[in-house]
Amino acid sequence: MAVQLTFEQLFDPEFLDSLETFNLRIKRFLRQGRLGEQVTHDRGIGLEFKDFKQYVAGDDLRAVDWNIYRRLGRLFVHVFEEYQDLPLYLLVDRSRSMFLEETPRVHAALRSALALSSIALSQHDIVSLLSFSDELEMHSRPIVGKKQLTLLGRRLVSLDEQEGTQLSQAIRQLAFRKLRPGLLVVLSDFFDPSGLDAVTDALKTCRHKLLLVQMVKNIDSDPTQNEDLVGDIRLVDCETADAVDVSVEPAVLNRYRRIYDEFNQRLTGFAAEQGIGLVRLNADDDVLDQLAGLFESGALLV
Amino acid sequence: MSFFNLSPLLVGLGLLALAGLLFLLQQLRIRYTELPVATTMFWAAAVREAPVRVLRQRFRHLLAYLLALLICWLLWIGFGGPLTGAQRTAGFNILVIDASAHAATSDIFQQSKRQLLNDVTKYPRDSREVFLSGAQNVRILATGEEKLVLERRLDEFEPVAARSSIDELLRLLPRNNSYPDEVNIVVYGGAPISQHALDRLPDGYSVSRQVNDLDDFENRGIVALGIAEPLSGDWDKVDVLFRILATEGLAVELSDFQVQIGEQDLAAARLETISSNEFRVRDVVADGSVFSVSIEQPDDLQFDNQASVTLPLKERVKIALGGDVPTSVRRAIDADDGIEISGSGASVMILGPNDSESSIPYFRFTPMVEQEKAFFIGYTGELDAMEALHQSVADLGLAEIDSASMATELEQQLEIQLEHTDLRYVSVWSELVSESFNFKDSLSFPVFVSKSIRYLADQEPWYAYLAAGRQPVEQTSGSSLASSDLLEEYAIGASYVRNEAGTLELRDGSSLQVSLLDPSTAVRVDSESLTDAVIETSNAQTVWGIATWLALLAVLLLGLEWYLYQRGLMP
Repeated sequence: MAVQLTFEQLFDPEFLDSLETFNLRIKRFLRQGRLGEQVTHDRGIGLEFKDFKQYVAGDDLRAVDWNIYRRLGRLFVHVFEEYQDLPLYLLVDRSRSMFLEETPRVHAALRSALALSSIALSQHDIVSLLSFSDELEMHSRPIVGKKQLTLLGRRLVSLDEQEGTQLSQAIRQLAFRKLRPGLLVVLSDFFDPSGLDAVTDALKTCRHKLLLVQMVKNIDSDPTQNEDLVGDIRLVDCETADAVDVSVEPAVLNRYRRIYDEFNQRLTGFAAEQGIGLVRLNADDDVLDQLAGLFESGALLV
Repeated sequence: MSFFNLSPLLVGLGLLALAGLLFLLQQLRIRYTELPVATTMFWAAAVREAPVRVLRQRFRHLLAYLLALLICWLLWIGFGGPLTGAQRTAGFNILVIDASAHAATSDIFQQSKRQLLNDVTKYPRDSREVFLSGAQNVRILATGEEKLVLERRLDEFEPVAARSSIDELLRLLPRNNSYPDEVNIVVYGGAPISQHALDRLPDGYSVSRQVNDLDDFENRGIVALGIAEPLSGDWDKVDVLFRILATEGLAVELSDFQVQIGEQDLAAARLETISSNEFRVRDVVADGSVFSVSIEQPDDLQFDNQASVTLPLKERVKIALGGDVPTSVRRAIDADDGIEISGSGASVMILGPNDSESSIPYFRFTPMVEQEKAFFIGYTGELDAMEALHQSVADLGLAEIDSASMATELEQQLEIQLEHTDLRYVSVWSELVSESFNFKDSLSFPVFVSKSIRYLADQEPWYAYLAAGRQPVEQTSGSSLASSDLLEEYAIGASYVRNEAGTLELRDGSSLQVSLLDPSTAVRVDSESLTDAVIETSNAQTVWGIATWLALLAVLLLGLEWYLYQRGLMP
């Protein structure tokens, strides 16, 4: 079993400082927000003038452009850009597969979650921390303000290993909750025993904008890097304890690689088809470097 | 390095067996090493497309199987050391190197060793054996073993003062059913082989000799040394006789040898010459000391220049007399110098008709009315009744008695009755020893009385001579060693002492001297039918060279397999 991250290991000031320049944006925002930094498509009462539109009953009379009315005899109102906050829901996978091996996926997942939380809180967004294994679990009320990042960090390191993986069920449970629409970030390896189709079907029911962060390791795509994976071995699933007897030989390895690639391609295809953000983070590599690549232009637009 | 030696057919069967065994091993379900992973679902899908090997399913690791098979075959052939038909000969070859006293002459043993080591590789390994014939016959190279083994084993042996065992080997070899019908025996060394031993070999056996250095052999040897009852009749003395033989051209002179009794040299005056090579020393005190004869003049063989015999320790038999001992018996006892009448410490009690019972072995004279048979003998030991009867007839001197005339005179049959008891006794009709009966006047009467008393005293036997590998003679009873347990632990088979001169340490702490005493060793008498061996050469050495290379190739392939395994190129 992997060693759990301590708060000191996770809450690295240098790591957090490096995130100062990053922004998290969504392409199309949802209503009902409060004042924040997310640019919405709503034309409201903000400060930045955006456009004109014809007056309809109910529009604020204070926004009528009387100059135009004088020239054209028709009523137009000013439309301003509206800035709202973004509810960010971090859904962290706590199944055993995330905690397996010497450099477990959960370390990278927690660092990523902390990074996204830091970025979101610094732009006045709301962060909610959820986790799942067999069941969905909400760990706190929504957190607002950068000062709450420490609290969030402590909650992140308290996430320990749980039995089972029911990602599809967790997403459906989340969808049923009357949460304010926001950005749902799923940090998982997506190894759901019920299959990838069940996961994608569940994701389709979700009303939130989605960012899928797939935690991968080098041995996933190239099992020969695992020194123990040679000869005739019995592979035991770390979550279900199901066993598979394998004679590791080139033909079997090739088939494995093909099946794993197909899995990734299906996930990628689903994300592209549904307009969902998909990020692959390698748990064996430095998280900050990989995030810097994602936020190359300063902002990650989902 | 070859552990076995098989025919090409067996080697081929071994190859097939290995192939089958490895095939089965490849197909057997194996014990897996467990490894926890997160990606089981992908592995399960990959394996579903091509399941792992299970018993009696599709053969999977063909290349690995072929590589393992090749390695095993090479090792099998390498260690098996197969011989082709051309290398085989029709017969079996038995090489015998002599390490008896014969081989102690000059460097004949070393010559034999060199010649044997040179010749042994010329015979196919699967059809030759080597025996060393010393005190016993020892197989020092079995079929299939290498010359290197023979060299090391030969270094452990030197000639010993023993008679040649080759005759015995020739007697035993045909009894071994593992040899084929045709057996060629080659003897290395000059040990004599009797014509009788050669004649009784079955058809198909031939004997020849390789090293036979009989020329210019000059030797004098003691060939007999024995003890006999003294002609003087003194109960505590013995006569000692010995014979010395010499090779042609050498004479035996009194000055050539020296005689010692214990630590004392014997005065030359006491030495009697019986013939040109036979000598006697009379009236030697039988005190248990060692009588030794040694030849002083140097010659070609040392082992037969010295011979010893342990003199018996003769003691008077102490007896006690009852009050009613017949006069005739008393007279016979008084005439026997070896019997002492003693009040205490008696080992035998002599009883008359009216004397009471005894707690020690007793010699009793009983009226006919009280005893059914003429001689009633109580014996001890483990002999059955018939053996005991024969033994007692000899031990008591009953065979010397003129029983027919005595029976006629008595008008009664003289019969012997035996009883197994814890206490020896001899009970005789008192009428037989009465003054009115003429048995008392016969020559056999004092012998009967004297022998009966000695039988009852159960004195230790002594040995007329002890020659290496020959049957000893117990002087007291005339029986063989087999009936006595005194030397039984040293006997080979039932009635032979060990075939090596020296000192025998007995269980009771005493010791006896064994001497070589072998005329054939001293003067080299050999069978004239032996010829020098003609050895056919074979290329057995070359075959071993190939086998070595095969084994090395197998080791290289093992290295290749390890390399491929490490690179993940084979399971």
